[in-house]
This record gives sequence, C-alpha cells and structure tokens, in this order.
Amino acid sequence: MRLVTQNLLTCQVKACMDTAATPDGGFLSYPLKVVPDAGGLKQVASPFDEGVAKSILPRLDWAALRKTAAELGVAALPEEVPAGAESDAGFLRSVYALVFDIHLEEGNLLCPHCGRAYPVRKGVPNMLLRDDEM
Amino acid sequence: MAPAEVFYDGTEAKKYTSSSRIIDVQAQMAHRCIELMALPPGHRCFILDIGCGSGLSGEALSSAGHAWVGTDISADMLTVGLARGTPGDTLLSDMGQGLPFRTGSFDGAISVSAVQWLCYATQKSHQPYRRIRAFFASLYRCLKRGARAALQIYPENAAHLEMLSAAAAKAGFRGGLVVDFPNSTKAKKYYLCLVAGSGERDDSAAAATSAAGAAAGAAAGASADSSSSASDGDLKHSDAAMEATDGMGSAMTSSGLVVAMGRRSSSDFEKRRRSRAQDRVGAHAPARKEWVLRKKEQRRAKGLPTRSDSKYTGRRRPDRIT
Repeated sequence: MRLVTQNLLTCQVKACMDTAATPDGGFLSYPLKVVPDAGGLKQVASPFDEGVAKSILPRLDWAALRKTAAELGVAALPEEVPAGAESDAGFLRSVYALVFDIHLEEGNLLCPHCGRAYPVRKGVPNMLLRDDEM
Repeated sequence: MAPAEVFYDGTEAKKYTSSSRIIDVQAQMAHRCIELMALPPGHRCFILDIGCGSGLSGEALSSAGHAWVGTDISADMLTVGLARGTPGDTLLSDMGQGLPFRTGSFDGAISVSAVQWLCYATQKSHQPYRRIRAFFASLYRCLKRGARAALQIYPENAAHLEMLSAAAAKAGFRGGLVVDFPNSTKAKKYYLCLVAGSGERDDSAAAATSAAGAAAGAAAGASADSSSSASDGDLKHSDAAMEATDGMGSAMTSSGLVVAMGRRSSSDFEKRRRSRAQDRVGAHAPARKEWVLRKKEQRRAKGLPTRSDSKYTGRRRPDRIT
C-alpha cells in the first residue's frame, strides 16, 4: 500500500466515526497512523507521470501527508503547498515519489482516535470490521 | 450460495488468470464501465474499483491512463492480483460495511460483477437492505460531486434490481440503468450508472458536461424507441422517467437500453389501476377458457383421465353456493 492510499483511508468503526468529528470540521480518526514492522517499508521507483501527479496534488490532504511523512521520517514537506506547485516539475516529482514509491508491505494502520489496528500483510490492508464494530 | 469471500477461493480465483474467456468478458465489461463513467477527455483521473478481484478491471483503467485503488472481500483474488502485479493499490474490505475512504476521494467508480453480492444475506448478522444502504451512502460520500459510478451487476431478479436502484436513489444518486444487448440471454448486461450530486463536475469539466446535456435530447429519444420495442418483462419503462436521465445521454450508446430510476409517474399508476379493474370484470375470460381447453387436450394426449368438454368448461364458478 502506498501513501496515496493511506491519505484516503479513514477508520470505519461506527463508535469511532460517531465521536470523531471535531467542531472545526476535522476528523480525529484521520489520518491512520502508519506503523511498519521491521523492514516493512519498501521503496520501489516507478516512472514519473506528470499528468497523474498534477491530478493527484489537489486531491491530497496535505496536512495528513505532511504528518505521515514526518512520522516515517521519509521527507520534510513545507507547511502548505507552495504557490505555483503545479508547474514546478521538481516539486511534483518529489511529491510523486513520496506518495507512489513508498510501499507499506508489512505493518499496521492505527486509528489515532480509537486505536483500532488495521493489519497490512503483503501490502494489502485488511479493513474488514467485526460485527460488533459496525 | 456461498458468500463472495468463500465463493472466490483459490480455484475460482485461478480462473481469472487462466481462462481466456473470463478474462475477455471481464475486460469488455470494464471497458464499457469506463465508457459509461464519461470522464472528461484528456484528464488523468483517480478511480475507485469496487470488487477489483485479480485486477482485470484495473488493467483496463491503467491502460486508459488512470490511477486507481481497488477493494475486494476475497483475499484469494487479491493474492492472484498481487501475483499478476497490479499497478494500483488493493484493500481487503467488505463493501457492505461501507467504503473506508474520506469525502471526495475519487473522480469516479467502476465495479464489475460485484455489487449484486450485497443482495444476499450470507451471514446471520447480514441485513441486505442495511448493507446496500451503507454501501451507496459511503460510495456517494467518497466520490467528488458530479462524479459518476458505473456498476455492472448480475441481478438475480427484478426485486434485486429494484432494491439496488432504490437504495442508490435514496443515497442521493441520480442516473439510471443501462441494459446492453437486451434481447440476448447470454450477452445481456446491466449497468447501474449513477451521478453523485449535481450534473456539474466541480473541476474543469464543465464543458464536457454541457456537451453531454446537448446530446442528451437525441439519446433519450433513441433510447425511448428501443425500450418500447424490447419486450423485457423485468423492468418498468416509463417515458416520463426517461427524461430524468438528462446528463447521462452522452454515455449511452444506441446498443444500450436506458431505464431511468426514480418515482413511477402518475400515469403508470393509472394504467395499473385500469388493468386491475379489467381483471375484476373478467376481461380475460376467453383466454382462460382457451387455456383450460389446451391443458385438457395435453392431458388427453398423454392418456391421462380427463373430463369431456362441455359448455361449462372454463367458466367461472358462481361466487357462492346457496
């Protein structure tokens, strides 16, 4: 699983969703914290695709990506998306490499609100809930 | 029937890499779904693939130049997908529990032969209506406003179709049902085509949408013709509802039959009331008599004991015996 997917995922536990909203419109259950096992993080270079990078940039929750990147210690991102980032090929390239090339192969995704762990095995997160969590 | 996660086990999953027929059919349906999503031309989009399985539909998305994320409930199918080296990310997730994505994540969604699984209660805790509602509500949430979802389904009967389209309408989707090859038993395919929110996409696709609106008039006319000629007893065709397909016009080709979902028009109710009234006065009596005579003839041909025909044969009994 790559960071672009992690940037979209939220905790689905019902009790958590019911209490996770903050008054300012944020969500306490987002982003899921990436906790890789030893050697569970992998870097695989993929060919840069400028079209995809441009379309993905406005889609990303920048604050969440910045937080995750800092926690993993893989990149130091500016606080906000710099102005004119869409035409800055170097910047696009670095963001693309960050969200598409870093794979979580083995580890867990932790909900920061309820602490539910979603295990990731062979790069596939298991988001299935138990009956009592729905 | 076994639940999806059991049905698509190792042996079934292997077919999706070895059987060229399955691969072919899946790829065709995936391409049709992509066509029905009517993405703005020239844009690289981010697509959700529900029930991605071994990633056959994902390959179609990748070849069209889109990035995608897939979900599936069968770990075996995902394993096959990993072995094939799918270009998108995959998640193990049950769509009946809701899709675990934040609001406005995707430019569109496709699904090939997956959504009908929601209609079955395969576990004691499963309530199909609740699962279908949870699925469509979460799908609506994770799509961008104006984004489209094209879901290919294999409904077992009209009730399932009704259940799915009613739940989609309730979640806020507009759109309708496209039936490809309506007169073929084998090639007939149902596509639920849904638009999240208003017809206007919130990104630079306004031009594409207005072009779709212009083409809608012609397409709606063509589809109304084909629906009246096709004798498909399962579906209710309503000319009034046909107008509700407005923005979807461009996505429909003449090979498809378009049925808009939505409330039944008042004229439909009128028709049904009239036909019920006719039933009561025995307007179909001659047909009943012929049917009885035909059945008796069949019994005689088989050599079974049968009463001889008389003027009373096939008549209604008096309401009450006094």
